[in-house]
Amino acid sequence: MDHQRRIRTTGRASVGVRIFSVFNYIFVTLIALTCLLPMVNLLAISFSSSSAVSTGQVSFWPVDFTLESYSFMAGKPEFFASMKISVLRILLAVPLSMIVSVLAAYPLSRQNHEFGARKYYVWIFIVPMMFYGGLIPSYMVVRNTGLIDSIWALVLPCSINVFNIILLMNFFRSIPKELEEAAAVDGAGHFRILLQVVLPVSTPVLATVLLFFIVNHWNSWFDGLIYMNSPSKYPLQTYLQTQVVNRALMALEAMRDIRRMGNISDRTGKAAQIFLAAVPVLAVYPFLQKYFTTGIVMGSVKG
Amino acid sequence: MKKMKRNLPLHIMLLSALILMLIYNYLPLLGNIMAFQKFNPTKGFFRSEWVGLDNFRYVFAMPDTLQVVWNTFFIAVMKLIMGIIVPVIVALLLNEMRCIRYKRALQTIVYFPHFLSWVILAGIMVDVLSPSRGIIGKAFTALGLEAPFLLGDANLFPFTMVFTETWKEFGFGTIVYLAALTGIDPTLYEAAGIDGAGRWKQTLNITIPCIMPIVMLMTILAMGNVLNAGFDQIFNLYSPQVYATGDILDTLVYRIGMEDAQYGVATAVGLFKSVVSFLMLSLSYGLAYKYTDYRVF
Amino acid sequence: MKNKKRFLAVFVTFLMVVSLLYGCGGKTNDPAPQTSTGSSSDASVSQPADGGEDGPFGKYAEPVTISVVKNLGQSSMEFPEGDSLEDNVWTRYYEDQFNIRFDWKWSTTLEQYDQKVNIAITSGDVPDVMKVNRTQLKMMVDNEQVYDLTELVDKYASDFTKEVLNADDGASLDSATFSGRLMAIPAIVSDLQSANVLWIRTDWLGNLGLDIPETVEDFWTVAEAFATKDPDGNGANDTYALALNKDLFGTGSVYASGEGFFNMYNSYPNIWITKDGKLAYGSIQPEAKDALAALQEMYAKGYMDPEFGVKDANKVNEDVCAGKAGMMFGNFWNMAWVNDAKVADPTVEWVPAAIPGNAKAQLSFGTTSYYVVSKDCKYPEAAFKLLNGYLDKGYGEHAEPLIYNITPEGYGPFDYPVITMEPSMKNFEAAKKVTAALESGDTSGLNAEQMNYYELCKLSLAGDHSNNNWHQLKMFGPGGSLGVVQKYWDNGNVMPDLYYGPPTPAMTEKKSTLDKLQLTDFSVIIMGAPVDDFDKFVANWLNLGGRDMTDEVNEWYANK
Repeated sequence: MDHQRRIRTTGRASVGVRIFSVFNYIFVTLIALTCLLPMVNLLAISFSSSSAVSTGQVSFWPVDFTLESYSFMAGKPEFFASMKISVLRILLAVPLSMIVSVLAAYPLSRQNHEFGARKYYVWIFIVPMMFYGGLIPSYMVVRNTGLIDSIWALVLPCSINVFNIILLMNFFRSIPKELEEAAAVDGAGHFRILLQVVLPVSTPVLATVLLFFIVNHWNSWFDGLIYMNSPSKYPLQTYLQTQVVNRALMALEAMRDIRRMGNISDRTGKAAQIFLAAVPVLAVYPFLQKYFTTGIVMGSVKG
Repeated sequence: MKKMKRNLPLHIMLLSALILMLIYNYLPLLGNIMAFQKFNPTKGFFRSEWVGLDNFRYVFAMPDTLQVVWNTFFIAVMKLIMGIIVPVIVALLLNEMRCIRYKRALQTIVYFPHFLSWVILAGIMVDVLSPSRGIIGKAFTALGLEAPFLLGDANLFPFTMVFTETWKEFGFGTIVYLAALTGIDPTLYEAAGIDGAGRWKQTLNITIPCIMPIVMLMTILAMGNVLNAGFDQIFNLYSPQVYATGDILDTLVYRIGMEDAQYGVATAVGLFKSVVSFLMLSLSYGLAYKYTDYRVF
Repeated sequence: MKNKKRFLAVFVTFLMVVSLLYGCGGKTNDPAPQTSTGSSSDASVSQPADGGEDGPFGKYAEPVTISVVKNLGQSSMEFPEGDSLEDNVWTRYYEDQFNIRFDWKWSTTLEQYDQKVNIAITSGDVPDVMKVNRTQLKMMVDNEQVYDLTELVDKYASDFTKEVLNADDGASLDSATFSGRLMAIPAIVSDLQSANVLWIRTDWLGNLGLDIPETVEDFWTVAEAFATKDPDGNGANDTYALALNKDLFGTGSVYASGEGFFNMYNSYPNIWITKDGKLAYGSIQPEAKDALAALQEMYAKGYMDPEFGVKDANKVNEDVCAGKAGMMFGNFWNMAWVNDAKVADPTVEWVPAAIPGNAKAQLSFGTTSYYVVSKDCKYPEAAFKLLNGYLDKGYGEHAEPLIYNITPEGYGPFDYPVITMEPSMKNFEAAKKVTAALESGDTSGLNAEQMNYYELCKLSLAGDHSNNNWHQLKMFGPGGSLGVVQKYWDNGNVMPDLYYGPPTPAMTEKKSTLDKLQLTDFSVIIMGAPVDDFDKFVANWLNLGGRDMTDEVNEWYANK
């Protein structure tokens, strides 16, 4: 399985290495634990009674354990409806983004002497990384391309991510030239080289970029808010934004609704929703992570 | 001619990305012209009043703009440095772990905080960093020292921002480096092992040089962020007593835009940031190319 | 991350592609009202008294469609089975009564509404009728995007509508008037609702044998006792007297606010008061220095949380609920955030009291929202008809509150229509009647809404504090916060904000800088900087644009 690891352990494990190893495990474990705390805190809140939460009794363990906030959520069809929209968005957007990005990264990974127009194309890709037009112009463009209130408004405008293209490009460039040259001698065109030579050895970077796209699309909320016309079409993160209200911002005028102010202190429900919304991505990550290691294939062809 | 024909597919491949970028990235860029206008939507872009550089002058005539630019730069650069160093170190440490399952579990865990927004984390941070109730405060008190007020002391605030941001994002940052580490040719280690190089030497002579390109890439790309000090984080954590060191360009613009609805001014600041970022990025790219012959793009 | 950047971009940029892609010429619609000329079709509809063909309740001969947007409130809106935003009691009423239909362009929740409106304004996508805030109204007027309603109000507003709109002697209408022209319908809200009261833990007072403070000296006595004499009797020195949030004043600060404390020292920060016959800014008056010196002393003596400077209202609320603080100034509804703590521990008791020292309570201008009619709207008078109908069926002569206001099942149709408004003293009326009914047991004078409050108060009195019952009792019940505020009014103990015009040029340019200056300097002084730094603050404030602001405000005042 782990080819690289096996090779490296053939070196003698000196005392120094062992001490380092123990220290390393402890150190990294401690760091990782600090990363868990906020999540544990959220979970504890979501399983506690709201009066225990608002009196500040809950830190890392539920107080007055209850499943109320989860059963409350089960009764909220909006939550699952918006989750469906998010899933649909990812099913449409991620494949599209992947294809477009790979197709763009391959030509950019050619050498300048080989593909002369490359040096001009590169700048076309760099400028949008630094300059952005802002909300209103973006909105106007989306409106005038007829996408308002459609799922494609969440797909097309953010389908290009230059950072991901650069990652792909750099990886493609590091692939041994001999492989491509051999294919070219056999008469293969660029499309065939990309499909049959480059992609098969690019699993690590493809998995990384795939993960980045999924995370990006899953976590975006602002575009859903401005491009969709009613809350029933919001993707999950946008829906959550509307639920997880920052109470301090409430103006006097909102107080008109004093009859229905009971909901605002619902921190337990919010915590449950935040947690549930993070679960899918956390579940995808280890799955993709497994593929990172298959990058080993790339090195082996060289030898 | 033959070359052109051979390269035709390359142009075709780029086409889809170029079209999408033209529509959704380039067209909106025209909006930056607002920075030179007193914009009025009913008059539109041609008939809105042109004010030249007035919007820029206005920003730099404000009493604390220079301080704010310095705060932004200071916090952003510190974050940038930590944002490279810490993930690289953690990736290397993770890479030294032999128990694969445990390693993967840890990798997944350090990735958590990235998913929590600052709105949520800010509430937790105020508790954790509290001198009286927080973990850090209690540690200081236990040692008989006066607990630092990490969020309320203007001298400490920028470092608190750097530290918490690094904590939140380092896990996500390791992904790229871990992917790069798995891409290292194992035969290199094999050869080194035969030559009798220990693990430390292997790390120094093989691992680090092999991931250097991706580290360089990330550094150069990060240079474009020298004026992005992190709006969400600072907006949710700052307070009047730390405005002197904690107020940044984005929070300034937020106040101008939100409270005064001066969009021309806000656009001017945004454009200023873009130009500076672009120059920094080009500069770092040029330097890297000149001195290390390394080409990012 | 990328999306957060875009969020920022709201404020960072604008458009311009608008004009490129959409051209500059607005549609030139003839705004002539096309109301019915024959009244035969109106016969079946119950016509209120003054329902002429082309009057306040006139029906259009042909169905007309008004494009609208909607703020759905806190989370989302609940509708009875089968109903929706597009089809409910109000939309059916409007169609029957006026032949008005709606094109709902978009709807969103409270937090996001302002952003969507900003986009609508700046991209030129303005619906026929829209609710906006004061800054947005100013922008739209400057952009010439709104319909001038000056000629329409007399002809199309019903008598009751006029009465409601003039409840504050025309101040709200003034605030919507630009160069003598009425550019919007103010969503009138009583400024009384912005007054601070002193919320205080009477169970702590009881433990220590103290009374509710009436004078400033009493206040200090209680403060010292709350901070040092273990009012909760847990044997630990873990309590503070006064809860205060880091923003001190303003919209972020309607809870655990500093305003009440300043008022106690006759200081009125952030509002315009009269001085020597001219308007002057409250924050720079010598009384503010006294108040700051007092707050500094509170802080130095440990009567306040030493970390208050980093805690926003939410965070302070956690401390308040955890029983860390025994007093705070704030709005009449503040117990809504404390209700959970009451449920968890029913011995906790908060009581609203008047600001000690027989002080005047400062009032910020209550009306913050406006209904604008698009310049391109074909039926601008429809806005008034919608409002006439709303007030008539909701609160007026033909009121059917069980159908149009709050249904017996607990739905709130009062919130469904595009234009909503309530008589501004409604909550105070309700408090008076509910309190009287709770004392006498006679509920015959209560309307449906008041009956609802009454029943919730009864539940709380019987020990069931959950579902915000206790909070209702604290507002509407005997000794409730609305009664305390009402008393300010009855005794003339109020200090209203005397400037309610649109933002002046200097305000637009300098206000955010000046606000930051004030907040920073005040915070630093409270936490121990020399009190005389206040004089430097005043000098800075005047030089950095405050003087211009004062001049402009006085010019407005002189011309009023």
